[in-house]
Amino acid sequence: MSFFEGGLFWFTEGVLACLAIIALRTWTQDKGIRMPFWKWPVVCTWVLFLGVSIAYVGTSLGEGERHAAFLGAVCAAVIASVSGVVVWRLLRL
Amino acid sequence: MATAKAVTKNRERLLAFAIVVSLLAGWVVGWSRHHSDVAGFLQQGLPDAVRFESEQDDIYAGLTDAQSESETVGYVAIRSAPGYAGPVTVAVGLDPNGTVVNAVLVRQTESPAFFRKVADKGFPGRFKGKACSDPFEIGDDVDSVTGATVTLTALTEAIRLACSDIATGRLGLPPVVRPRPPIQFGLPEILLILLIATGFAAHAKKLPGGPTIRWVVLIASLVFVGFVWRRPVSLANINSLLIGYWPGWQNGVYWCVLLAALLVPAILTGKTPYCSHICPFGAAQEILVKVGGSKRQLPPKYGRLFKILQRALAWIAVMCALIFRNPTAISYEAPATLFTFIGANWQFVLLALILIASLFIARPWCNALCPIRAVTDYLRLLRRNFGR
Repeated sequence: MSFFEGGLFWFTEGVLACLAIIALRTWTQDKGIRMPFWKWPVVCTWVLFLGVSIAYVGTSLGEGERHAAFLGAVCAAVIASVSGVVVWRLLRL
Repeated sequence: MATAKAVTKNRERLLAFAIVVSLLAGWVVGWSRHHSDVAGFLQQGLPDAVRFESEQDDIYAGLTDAQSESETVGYVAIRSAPGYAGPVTVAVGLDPNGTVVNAVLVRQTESPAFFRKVADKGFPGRFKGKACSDPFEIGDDVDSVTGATVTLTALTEAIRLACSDIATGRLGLPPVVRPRPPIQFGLPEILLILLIATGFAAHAKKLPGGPTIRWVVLIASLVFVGFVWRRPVSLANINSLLIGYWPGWQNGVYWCVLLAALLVPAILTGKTPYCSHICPFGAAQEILVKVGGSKRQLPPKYGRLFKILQRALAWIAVMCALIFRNPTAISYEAPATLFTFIGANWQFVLLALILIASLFIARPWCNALCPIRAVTDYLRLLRRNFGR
């Protein structure tokens, strides 16, 4: 069983997601950015998408589906970049 | 100052002339290399034949042995029909009863990914055993292939032509009367003409609310020309014209309108409303730059370098197409990858880089790599130097 198909991978993903949210909270406080309630689900959804993308690429590689992993990585990179810019602009509202 | 201008003008003329000469040379080289040796294909078309006798109209009689009074086991015809990026040529063997013994591909210049779809379904070998009196209709007696209709239509038409010519010309069978194929002029063609007319009017500032109309046309073009019909202008279309693979107007109305919208204004006025007002990939980039909120252009220093790269790549792609007589000999166009989701791995990476860069820089593909822009720039150069 590859690393990406095991529980340790998802545990790591969960830890990284928590760290990302905590870091965001600290950063917004430092910068004085207002964080009303609707911004949190937006950011969390984006972080979740990133995690699922990494999982998709990892599990595809684990199953020997290199082409699917590659296409998934390219699509996820574009979607994450575009949505990341949108989230970034929303954060600054 | 006047001398510097004259020197630049002379350099431009020399460059324009050199490009014309190189393209002509490429065309001549390609034409002189274009000789297909059909002997191997004849044997595949009619495996039982020992030797072949060349007859008129690219039809060969297959004979049983080397004796002069040997028996004819069938005929093989070489026929072509226009595909997406040039003619699809096949060799078809028929026995004396008018049944297809075998059909083999002689030559094609379709995009590899599209032809692979047809080949993966077993064509043209699947025509084996068909009678020349069959209708050869896709969706009727010939299974369709999703996403490669034009290529399969060309293949089927070439095989039907070969069967028909052998049956009527050699076997004395009555000709199969087929209804004349309808002229392809439907909703896509009408909407395309409307889009182009509106885009041109907005470009000429003949309409109130020009910028809004421009956005409406761009988004409609992105949706219909890009994602629904998946047929934006590509360098392969221009290469096909240069090589001489003109589509029949009955099934090429869409291409004729689209290419005319691109090339005619560039030749007559030096301006190309297609790029700024109609191009679906331009629309995608403009939407992304709006999302990114940036108004940056390529820095002039790099802009010039990319311009040289853009034109050099386009020249190499056109030269290769002419020399190998294959419109898609070199293809690096990101729009095709976006709209068809077909391409090599590096094409997907290039597309991703272009889309991400579009968030921060205005139209990076158009300004740095698009071969269509290089072609229209060259037409403008020709017009400026030799037009009057």
